[in-house]
Amino acid sequence: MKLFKYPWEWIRHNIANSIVLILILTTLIGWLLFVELNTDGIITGKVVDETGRPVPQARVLIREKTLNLIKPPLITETNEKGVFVYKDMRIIEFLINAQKDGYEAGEDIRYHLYFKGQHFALPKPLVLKKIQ
Amino acid sequence: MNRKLLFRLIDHTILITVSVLITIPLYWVLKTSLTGENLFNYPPSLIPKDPHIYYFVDVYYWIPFLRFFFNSVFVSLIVVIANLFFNSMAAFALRYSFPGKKLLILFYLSMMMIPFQTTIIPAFLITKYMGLLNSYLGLSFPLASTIINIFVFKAAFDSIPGSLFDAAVMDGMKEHAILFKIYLPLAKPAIATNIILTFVWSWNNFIWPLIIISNKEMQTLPLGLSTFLSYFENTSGQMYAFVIMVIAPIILVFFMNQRRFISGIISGAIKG
Amino acid sequence: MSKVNRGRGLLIVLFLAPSLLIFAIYRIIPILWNLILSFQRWKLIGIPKFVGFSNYQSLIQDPVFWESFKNTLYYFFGGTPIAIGVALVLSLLVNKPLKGRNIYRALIFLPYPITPVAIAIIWKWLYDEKVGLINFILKSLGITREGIGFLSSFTWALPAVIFTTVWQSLGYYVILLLAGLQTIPEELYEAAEIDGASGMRKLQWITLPLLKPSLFLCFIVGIINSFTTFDVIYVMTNGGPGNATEILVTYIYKKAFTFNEIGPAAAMTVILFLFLLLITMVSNKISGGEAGGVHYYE
Repeated sequence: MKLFKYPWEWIRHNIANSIVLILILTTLIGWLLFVELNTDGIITGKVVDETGRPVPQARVLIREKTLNLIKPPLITETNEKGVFVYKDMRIIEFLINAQKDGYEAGEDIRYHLYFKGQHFALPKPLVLKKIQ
Repeated sequence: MNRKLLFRLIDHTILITVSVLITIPLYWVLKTSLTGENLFNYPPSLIPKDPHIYYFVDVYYWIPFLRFFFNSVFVSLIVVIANLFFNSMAAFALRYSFPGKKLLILFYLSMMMIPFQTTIIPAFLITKYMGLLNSYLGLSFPLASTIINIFVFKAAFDSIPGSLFDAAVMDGMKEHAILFKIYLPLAKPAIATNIILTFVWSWNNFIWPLIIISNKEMQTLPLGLSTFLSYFENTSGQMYAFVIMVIAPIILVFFMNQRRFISGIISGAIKG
Repeated sequence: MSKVNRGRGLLIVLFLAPSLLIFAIYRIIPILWNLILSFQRWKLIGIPKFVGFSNYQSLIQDPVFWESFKNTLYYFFGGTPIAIGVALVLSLLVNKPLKGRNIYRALIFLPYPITPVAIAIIWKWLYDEKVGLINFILKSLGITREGIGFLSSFTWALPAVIFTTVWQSLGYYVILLLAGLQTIPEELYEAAEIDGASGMRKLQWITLPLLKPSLFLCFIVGIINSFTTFDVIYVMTNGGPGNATEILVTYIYKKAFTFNEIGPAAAMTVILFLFLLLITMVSNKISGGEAGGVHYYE
């Protein structure tokens, strides 16, 4: 078995292993960096009615879901543009729905995040149907 | 000519079938950890549908995975380093001839006849009286030296010409210097074999942590897996993500070191 | 190799000390202490009391003990021959200069280094009555209408667990046999071919006899494995249903650490150890005592 005098000789000799290791390391570091740059913990979204018009002053409830239970809701309200914002959230999985007098009760929608404190904007707005 | 081709085809068919049978369970676990299907619904599909990594995220946050991982890594580190030192020292000492050497070698070999499982009760008591329950040292001590690996080193040392040794002695080198500066660098394959064999054994060890660990924080990965199973049954996708996270490092180590692994097992088993 | 003088003597002792210490503490002392414990009554509290052979007597009258002993023997006689047989076929195939043999070899060996606990969890799910893959295949092939609860059936539990262990250990046996195959000199085969020997004859008269040491090794490994498998059974069935998959080791663990009946557990350990020793010595004699005499890598 040869004695390798320099580290780059070892790398050249075990090129496949080195590539794998380097890939793993860069993925790990890249992921950690990404997480660090996006931990504002903001969860935000919009509430609209069936026609697509924003619903202001709608109550939004967000309930954290752990592996075996669901926690009590955190409540906030949408502004005039129907937008709501939660700050400093450190949750992984949650149920969210919206309510307002005069509208049918909304359904829980479940979302799962990738890391605690992830900045998340609801991909679809919460839809409330007006009570006829 | 055709007959040869036919035989070749049969051989490949058999081998492919066996390879598929071997890898299907692993592929299945991987698929389930990425999609969560087949846990409740039926029939199962072959290709993963809508893969996601949410189960892995859950395992990371809801199980002290990092903690277990660290425990496993730390204990394995202690075990590997202890093995490297103790085994190479013992093999080196066996190079000399001294009265009772044959008896000693016989003694070492006979240790192989005592499987770990036959020592668990007194080993537990000993660990308890040493106050090492729930500790890293308690976890690593029983594994700190293995006979197979001593003989792996011995075989490597035996192939080093005696003239090197005599030359070193004449240069006035002390024995530990001879071991560490001359013998070990020339026995790199033996070192690699030692590392790989002891690492895998220590990483996979289940019964010993089961016996001496009662503190949830000190569990190693296999023990963590088993505890998780007893809490969550095996119908949660997180369970299988956990499994993947536990076996991925070893599979990686295996693929990167196949040759050494295999040759280590061969030389170790045969020496015994 | 050098002769020893007094300074060297001290050094040798120092160098041997750590490993000897570990073995003394964790192998020698436990065997002796097991023996002592087997003659005592102790529940981990207070002072152990000497009770002579009563632990052994209670074991003889313990149906679970005999069940676990029987199961251990099933494990060995049921699993090991199949595993070694299949491994033999595979190693013969992989030994041929086929394309991709390294890949086959790597795949066959792959399950071996994987954590047994993980493997147990994977197979526990594969065997699942409702959603397991195996039942799905059986149903689609039309072999059964409803799923078989492998791990909860008294007839299927032990074979199922044995199959899992066989699955994992195949690679190990293949590697051992491959090593043995590769030491058989080519000239022997060539000489036989010149004499007009066909494939099967070559197998019978050259390969198998020269493989005897390797086969013996596999046998020994198989014995030790079947007497010491703990992880897989504990995780998959924990000895259940009833005592259908209880083997000696798991029963020892239960007695000692769940019920704290140290005496009987130690007695069982002594019996296990002696039995293992006996089988090894007997098979050594049968195989002509060749076992230790083969060195492949010098």
